[in-house]
Amino acid sequence: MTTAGLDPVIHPVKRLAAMSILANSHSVEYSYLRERLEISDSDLSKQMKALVDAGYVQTRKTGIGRGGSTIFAITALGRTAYTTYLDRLRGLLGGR
Amino acid sequence: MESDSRPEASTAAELRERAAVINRSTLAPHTDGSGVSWWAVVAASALNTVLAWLLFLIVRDEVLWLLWVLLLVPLAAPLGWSFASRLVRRRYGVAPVQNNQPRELQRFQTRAVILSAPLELGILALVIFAPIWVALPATFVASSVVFGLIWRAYERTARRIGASAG
Repeated sequence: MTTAGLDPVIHPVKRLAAMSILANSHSVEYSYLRERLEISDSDLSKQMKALVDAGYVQTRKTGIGRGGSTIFAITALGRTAYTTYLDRLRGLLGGR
Repeated sequence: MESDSRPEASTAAELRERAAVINRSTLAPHTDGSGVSWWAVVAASALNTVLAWLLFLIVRDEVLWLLWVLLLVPLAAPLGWSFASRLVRRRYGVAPVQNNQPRELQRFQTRAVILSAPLELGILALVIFAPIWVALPATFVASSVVFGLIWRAYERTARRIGASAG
């Protein structure tokens, strides 16, 4: 059994968790994602940048300054990549 | 032989870990966050009541007020819901209507908010010509009942979706 064929952008645990949340959401606030993943600001920024750079996630800013917030949403490309990842993972795990 | 099987076992464990991550991330928010307490419903109703009666104090005319309420209630319902969900988020760490909400729940919430307007308006219309000392608590109770019914339906839907996803 190998991990070949699984998207390397999604495969890391933190990014996979983020994609799972985003795939089931309309949009997700930065602070919510940080709490759910239980990671630091810098780590979350790094993980989300990788997903944004791959075109899987888009960001939107609301408000200004301290009251502002960053909102993440999955893109059509991201949803396709996530679904493909799930299918391949199920296949590797024997259809479970 | 043993050294050959180790990487395979480690990869299998890695894949099972990924499957567990997906399950946790997909199911947890709308199963542990939907247990909303009644105080949030009461808070949303209180907000609705205050808005409705502030308008009454401004307008001072029942018929005109009814026209205002026609505009207010569709606005107040999502406002009240949003206010309550913020309270819930502070208490439970999860905002059921804002984050990680399955699309089915989003559609349900939209329908619920739209439905709450005519329901609430219907109850308000019954008490609109009553004296204020009757109409004020009646408005609050009507608002609470409507929000309470919607929220219970929301919880049932969330549990059903959580159960079917699990």
